[in-house]
Amino acid sequence: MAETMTNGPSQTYVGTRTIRPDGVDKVTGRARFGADFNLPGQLIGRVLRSPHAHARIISIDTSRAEALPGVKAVITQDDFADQPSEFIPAGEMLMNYKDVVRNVMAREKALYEGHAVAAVAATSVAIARRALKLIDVKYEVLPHVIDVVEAMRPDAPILHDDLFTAGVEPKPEKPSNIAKRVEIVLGDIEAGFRKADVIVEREFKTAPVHQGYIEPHAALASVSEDGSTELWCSTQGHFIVRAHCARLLGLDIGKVRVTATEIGGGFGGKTVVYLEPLAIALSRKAKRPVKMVMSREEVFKASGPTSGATVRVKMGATKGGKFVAGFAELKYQAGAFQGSPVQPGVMCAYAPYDIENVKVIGYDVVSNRPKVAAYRAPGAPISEFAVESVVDEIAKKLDIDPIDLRMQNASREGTKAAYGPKLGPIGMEETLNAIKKTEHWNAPLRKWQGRGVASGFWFNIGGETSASLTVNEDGTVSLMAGTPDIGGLRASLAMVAADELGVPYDKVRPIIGDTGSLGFNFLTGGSRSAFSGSMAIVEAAKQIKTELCARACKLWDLKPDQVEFAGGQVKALGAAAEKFKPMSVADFAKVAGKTGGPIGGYGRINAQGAGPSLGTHLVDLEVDPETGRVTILRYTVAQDAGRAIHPSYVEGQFQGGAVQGIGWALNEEYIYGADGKLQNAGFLDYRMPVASDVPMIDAILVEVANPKHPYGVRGVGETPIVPPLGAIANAMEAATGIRFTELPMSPPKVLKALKERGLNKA
Amino acid sequence: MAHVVLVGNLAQLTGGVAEFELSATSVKQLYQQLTELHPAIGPHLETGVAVAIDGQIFQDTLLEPIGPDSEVFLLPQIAGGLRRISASRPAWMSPVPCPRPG
Repeated sequence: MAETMTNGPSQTYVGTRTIRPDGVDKVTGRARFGADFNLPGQLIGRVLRSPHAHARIISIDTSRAEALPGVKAVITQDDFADQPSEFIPAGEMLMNYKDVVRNVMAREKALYEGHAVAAVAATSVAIARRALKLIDVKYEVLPHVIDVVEAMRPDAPILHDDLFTAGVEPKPEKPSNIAKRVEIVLGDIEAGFRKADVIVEREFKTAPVHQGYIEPHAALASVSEDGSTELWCSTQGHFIVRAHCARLLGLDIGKVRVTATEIGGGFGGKTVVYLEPLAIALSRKAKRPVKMVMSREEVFKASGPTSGATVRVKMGATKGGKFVAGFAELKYQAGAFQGSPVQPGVMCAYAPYDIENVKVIGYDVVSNRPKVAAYRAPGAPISEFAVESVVDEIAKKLDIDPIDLRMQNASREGTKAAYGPKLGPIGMEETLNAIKKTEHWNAPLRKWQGRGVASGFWFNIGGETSASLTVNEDGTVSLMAGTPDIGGLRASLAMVAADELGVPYDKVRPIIGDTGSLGFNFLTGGSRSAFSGSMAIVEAAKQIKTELCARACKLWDLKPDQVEFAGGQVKALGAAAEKFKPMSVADFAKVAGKTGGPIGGYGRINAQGAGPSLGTHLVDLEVDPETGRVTILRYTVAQDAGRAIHPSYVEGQFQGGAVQGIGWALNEEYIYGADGKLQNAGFLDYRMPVASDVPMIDAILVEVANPKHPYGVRGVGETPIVPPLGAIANAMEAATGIRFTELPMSPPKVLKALKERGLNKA
Repeated sequence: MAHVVLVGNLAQLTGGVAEFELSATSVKQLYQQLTELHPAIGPHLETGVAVAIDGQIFQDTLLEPIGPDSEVFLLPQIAGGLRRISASRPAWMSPVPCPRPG
């Protein structure tokens, strides 16, 4: 079921469900993903990884591996110059090149099981594997720490001797695993709690979860003798890959050309580099192309999951249901290097609500796990899960309908967000109303079944974007974007271009250009690619329309104010209208050479004005009291899309986010042994939802237009993963009477809780 | 004068002062004026903050105008582009005249 409530502009294609231009290649298997690319003479690259969670590297002897016939290159830390400590905003989180160079290849220490220590390029997989066994690494095994709370203890093993907690006064004199303390404050939190009639305080724990993209990381690099470098890889941002690799390997950006392959999922996890600089370094050394593909085990052990966390929430409300105070303390795992998404977690925690007094404190904590990477709305699902659980408890204590309670406290246009500014037009109330109007909300439930609701907020971003439109000789249009297409970008941009230029949608052919074809593009992330890309396309189309009008003036001997572009044609106005037949884009294409040359537009913008997106989720589930298994029975998502360019893709984002949230809530977790080694590095043991685990996710498109976008568009990709954790926990409470505060709510935990309360009887 | 508020930990770089009245008419001028008042905040402004002007969040921009009655918040960057960043004073803080033709 899909319901659309729209107040956006009407267009021919925008808002319709066109056929995706990449669809045929995807369903026929012709589409080429990262591992599908090959070059003549290519070598196979493999990585030697640390077997220890925490160990000092005493020495690395690669001589025996280098002597093995068929081995063409071996690299270690020595092949990467050290980098200064320098924070940069990259992807959706801050990063430090001093850490990046250590994450792609361990230097002084191996900081997690799976940390890259060396890599080889050989003429076959078998030789590469044998070569890895011949590399002699001497370690001094050190005590490790996995859990975030344990890592914060004063006596915890310290990962970095030069890491001192930032954000506290006075500056600490001893190193710590606490990289940073952040906080936001609005109003007077103590005064707020004094006004409260009801106060609920709870502590929550969430497990680290992986983005779970089906396609493992893959890279193919070819470096020529003059240093010119070509790279094909599965990434969310090939311009970002180019920048990282150039920096890590001391290359000129202009000499590196990166092509983003088709991508089998990223969800934030492909916004950083792992194999790419290694493949380039190996190719540079071997003087042959090098292909590297991670195994699934490597993906789990060596690429970023998102944080696990401990969260304490305390909220106060009046008897009438007005929230008067919200406090939270967030402790997020960063993995082996600082840079967890605790800052956005802090900022989002109470963003759905208009609360006068808010204080949120966050800690960024390192431990012996792989460095976290962005994962859809980084940090927000964790903090908002905790808040949404407490909101539900307040509703129960006050005997107020949970949607009505949220409605009463909803952020709306003009609300001062706890993170600073006043909010513009947003759709929190509209999503709550949409959910309350559903038949789902009032459908009957049986014993052991429960219903839960929760809302979620994410900022969305814009950023640097380049895109081009070229009118071909026959009037068709080539569209080039520079952000990888993960969720239907090519179709969405082609629809906007078709509407802007008045050409048929199937006459616009969109492709993703490589880094040599367009100006800089920030990556596909932050729910930005359709938002920013469509703005760039509008700009490119505007240039074309202006150019066509100018050419018409010359052809018709008219002045600029005597012509206009409307309905896909340049028309003469006034008395001249009868004299000159309107010319379409295709008409101009035929005479392009005679009227000034090729016709095209190039949108180059730093897109601003991304409006936040709010969503509300409703879930029914059933608990099996004998096994603790939870079955999702029914699920409805309502989210503000601003304006859905392609409703099917927007619904797909809603559904995908909900399903990933279901996995996060019910089953997914990194399980470590006492030795600090990951015990479930594969999809058999790391239980992600599959199609048979979930019902059809109903999607309601709420459209509160973003006034800063020409079509009213908001980013939609991240918000849908925020509400599921809280909605499912609230449904679990409704089904069992138990407030689950630890994720995942997997069968062993559910069964244990039921047994403790004598409820495990059918 | 624009009313400027520092959100979160940024006030630790200004001796605890979180609110300012500044005559800046652009983000660039805002950064310059804040840096002149509190040099410690300078390196953080280009890399680690977003600017909300009258409720609208801007990132990675220097040229956005600020009105005389604008309410401006400097908040942690939500996400951002990747640019090589110099530890030294950014070039835009020390304007150099454009070369004259001829």
